[in-house]
Parts: sequence; C-alpha cells; structure tokens
Amino acid sequence: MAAGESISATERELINRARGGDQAAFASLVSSHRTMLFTVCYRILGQRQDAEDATQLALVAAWRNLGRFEQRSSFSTWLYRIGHNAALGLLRKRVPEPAGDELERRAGQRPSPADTVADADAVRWALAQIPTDFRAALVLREYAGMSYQEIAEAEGIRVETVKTRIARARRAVAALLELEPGGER
Amino acid sequence: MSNRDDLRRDTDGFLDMDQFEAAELAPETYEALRDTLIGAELPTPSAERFDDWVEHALEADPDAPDTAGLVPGETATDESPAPPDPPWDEDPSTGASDFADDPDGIDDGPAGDDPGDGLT
Repeated sequence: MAAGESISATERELINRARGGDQAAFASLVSSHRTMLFTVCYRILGQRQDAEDATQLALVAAWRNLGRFEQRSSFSTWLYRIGHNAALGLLRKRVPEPAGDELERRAGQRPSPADTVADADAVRWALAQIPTDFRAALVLREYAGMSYQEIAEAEGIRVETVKTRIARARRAVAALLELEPGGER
Repeated sequence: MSNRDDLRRDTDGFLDMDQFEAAELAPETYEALRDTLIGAELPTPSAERFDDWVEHALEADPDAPDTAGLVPGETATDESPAPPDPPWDEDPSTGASDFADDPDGIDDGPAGDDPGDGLT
C-alpha cells in the first residue's frame, strides 16, 4: 500500500495481531514494505551499510512502539517516517556533512551525463549534492509517496516550506543530471 | 540552469538552494526526473536478509522506551494548535501582568530604565 492510503482490513488485522504480540503478523506487516523502507533510508544516507543499519533500527523501533501507532495515517507512512528519522539520526552521527574539499573530490568522480540515464551512481551523486533537509523532503515525496502534509509532520515544518524544498530540490537534481531543456541531454 | 559547473555552493559545500526557483518543473522535465530517480538501481536487501533483520527486531524488548526518538508522536497530535503566546510577560507566581496598569500596553522596560523614548 502506498503512503497516504487508508489502512486495509487485512493490514488492520495484522496490526492488531502484532500489537497483541503476534510476531508472525509483524513480520508479514513489514515485509510488504521492505523495498520502500530501505529505499527511503538509502536515498537519504547514500550508503548501503548505513541504510541497512537505519532499516534495522527502524524495524526495532516499529516493533517496540507499535502500540503507539494510532492508525491515523497508513502504516507505511508511519514506518517510512521511522526510517526517515533513523536515517537522519545516523547521518548526524556517522557521516560528516560534505565539506567543500570532499565535494570537489566527488565532483571529479561524478558520472558522465552521457551514461547516467537510470544510473544509480548519478542519482546517488546528485542527491548527495543537495542539503540534507531538501534531500529528505524529496525522498519522502518521490520514493515514499508521502503527501506534503505528511512530510510537513515528519519534518516538523510548514506545508509551504515542504513545497518550496521539494520544488527546489527537483530543480537542483534535474540541473545536476542535466535533464532540463537547454542542458546537455 | 544548463551548466552544473556554474552552480553556486554554500559554505558546507552543498548546492546553494536559493539559486533554484521554487516553481514546478516543466512536465517533460519532471517526467524525466521521476524516471531517472525511480529507475536507478538500488542495492535492495534480499527477502531473506530482511527477514533476519525482522527476527532480530522481534528479540527487542517491546516495552523499552524510544530513547532515540525515532517514532512519530501520533499521540501528541500535530494538528492541535499551540496555545497562544500571552500578550505580555506574566509573573509565573501570581499570573499578574507586569503591565496590568500600563494604559498603552507597550513594554517600556524595567522601572528606572527609561530610554527616553517618550513611551512611559
């Protein structure tokens, strides 16, 4: 189920059973969100190992706190928000914000636009060039499918700020990947 | 902006986002961006590996507090309006306003510290 949709009867039943301690129900509940939970973490962090750590932290937090999930949002939105928080927490702890020198080094390694269509390295490189708060908003919108309102709640900012961040982030990434008319491709 | 080498950066080395318009991309550009973002390959963990992580998570104490603050606070609803700021400082011990007798309601500063602005 995509973020923002209402909770299905099946999912509601799994949530209720998991809340009662049914581990198989919890496993079933989260397994359908495996790819997207990891994607949110990976696209924010840009590193596989960190993303795996963030995903595992999110799963532990979800299991421990399932009783706090009030089903006001979809389960996927709740889970992706936990993944987003875990990723940002790891980013603050483990990965120093890129300094100018580091980015210059990265710029020297950046992929050629000629072979960057659907190129994993190019997307990862482009996302790493924009500030964390812009990147997180873009990831929650484009990958997790969250609404502006849901992102605003996740980030603790106003909806208008979310819209601005996402629009600017899209423009920045499009410019880096040279997707805009007048670009090199 | 066609030349990415000309893009300005902030002091941390990230792109300076002020140089980008907060307007929607042209539909064809947005479609290309979406295709690129979604189409890029991901090192997604296998189902078996994910199951191992779930199994590990299930070993965690379900009653342990969320000390890392990872879980959204659904109980503290984001929709409830914050209480309005009081229009003036109140003495917390009495609730009395410092300016209860001030006819113009303007904070003139501590007594005896009139800057001479004619407000008192």
